[in-house]
Amino acid sequence: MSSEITIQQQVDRFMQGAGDALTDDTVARLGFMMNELLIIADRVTRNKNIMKLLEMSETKDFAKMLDAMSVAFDSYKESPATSGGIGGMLKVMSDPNVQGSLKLLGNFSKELNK
Amino acid sequence: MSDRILVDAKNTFCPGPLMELISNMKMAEVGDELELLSTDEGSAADIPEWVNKVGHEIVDSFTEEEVLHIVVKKIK
Amino acid sequence: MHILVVGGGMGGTILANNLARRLSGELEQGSSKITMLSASDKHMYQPGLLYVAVGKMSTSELYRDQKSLLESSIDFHVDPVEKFDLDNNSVTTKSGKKISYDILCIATGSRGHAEGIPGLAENSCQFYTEADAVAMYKKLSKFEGGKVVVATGVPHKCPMSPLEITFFLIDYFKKRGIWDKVDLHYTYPIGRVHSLAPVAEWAAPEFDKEGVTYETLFNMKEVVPGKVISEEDSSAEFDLLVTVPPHKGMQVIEDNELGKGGFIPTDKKKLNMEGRDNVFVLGDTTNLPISKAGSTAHFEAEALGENIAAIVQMGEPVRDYDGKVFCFIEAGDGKATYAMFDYNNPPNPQAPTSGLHWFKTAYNRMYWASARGII
Repeated sequence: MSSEITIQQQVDRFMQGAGDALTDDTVARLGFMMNELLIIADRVTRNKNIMKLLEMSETKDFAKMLDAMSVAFDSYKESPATSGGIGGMLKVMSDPNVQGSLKLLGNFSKELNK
Repeated sequence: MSDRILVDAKNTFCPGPLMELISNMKMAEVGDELELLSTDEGSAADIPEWVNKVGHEIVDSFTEEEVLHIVVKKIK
Repeated sequence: MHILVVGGGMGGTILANNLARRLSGELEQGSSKITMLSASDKHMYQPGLLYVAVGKMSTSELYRDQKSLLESSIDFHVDPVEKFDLDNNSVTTKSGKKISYDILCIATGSRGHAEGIPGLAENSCQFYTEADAVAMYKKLSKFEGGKVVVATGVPHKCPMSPLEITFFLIDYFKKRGIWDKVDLHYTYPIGRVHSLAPVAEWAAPEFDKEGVTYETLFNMKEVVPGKVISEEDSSAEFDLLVTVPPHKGMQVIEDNELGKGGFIPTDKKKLNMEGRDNVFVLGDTTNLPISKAGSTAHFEAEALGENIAAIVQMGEPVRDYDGKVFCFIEAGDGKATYAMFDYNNPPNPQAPTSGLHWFKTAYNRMYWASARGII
């Protein structure tokens, strides 16, 4: 087999190969996927919220936030149940981490209401 | 007598002048006259061929500024 | 500016989406609004019916929810128009709502009207509605051989369908192994086998090759059981008759006396209704002497979208519709070609290839992206 073939011969062989391999069903499925991908890409790129989310996700704080949420949730699942009642509430509220969390929530609420 | 119905099929390829004439003929009343305008070379032969076969009447036919005008009267 | 689009088919949908993209700023600010009124909550891919009729596509692939195809900024209602009051720039819908507009776009389409030919509906197979296409497939699957006649009414949408259904029938009968028991006879209204001369020149020898006989200058007048009779005093006997019915515009257009036969007189370049600067018409609804085809509606919608957006933003339209049409032609045997033309350039179709058949097969599924205004 000579390894030197022209561009036209390459195209011809590609088409021949495609013709032998492809069926109407394959092409139809590919067409369907292209259709769905185009629609999703169109919606994503014109959706300001998603584009903002993409932008935020590029900051290192975003990854840190996701990690923190994941760790916090895991430790909550493993921690003993709170005892409830006023005594229980006072005990939880005196924890500096809890006070920090309330401050975080307060800032969040302040920003939302702007 | 009603006005002539103008069927302007100049520079049309699909469906083309004869089919436009046939469609408009269907919507016309018996006795109506339709004036077809065509720039298609084949129309000079196609239109009379159909009109004669189906039994309508060619009232007038002339070319003006490279546009063929054929006036057909609906007979049936 | 309130733009009202009447009709949720291909033309109306592409136009509304095109406008929503171009006028996104105005829509967000509230200085413009787009409303669409349609008779259905579903959007049908009509070219798929040809494939359903011969068992190549399932009916579920024909539909998507209309709302899912529209930009969220479009106010869509399933509430068809019943009355047009063009002098007062308003319409009244089926639910009784009166809606005023600044710009009206009518894209109500066309429909098969088999009732226009006595005996046609009850004696022939058609494929222009889902019910008809499914019924045709069922009839085909029980057909064991005999004389099959293809006949075409005028006008009709999808100019290629008489040829395509014929080539699909050849494929179908061959696949079932009964082609040698079938006698296929093709008829056509004008003096050649297709309205486009280059397409007719290609198709006639293909028919000769396959042993398909044909008769031209054949316009259906009446159908009786076993025989179709033409206006030209000819007839063809059949065991199975497959027809493309003559078409009309929608009843509402006729009821409101907007155009004879339900087709509205339209300017061929600006696409406005004759005599009305703020009413536009596109797709099958126009009376333009061009193909009633999906691609026509598509290209008209693009031109009109640009123009209406320009009218809103600058007060003037910016381009003419150039008459562009692009129609695929399925030629059977896994091959297809296409015819492309506009007001100034005639078609020049090339020999069918499998590549083009794949393109069409893929496009059948990518149509939805084009309805959304992406391609």
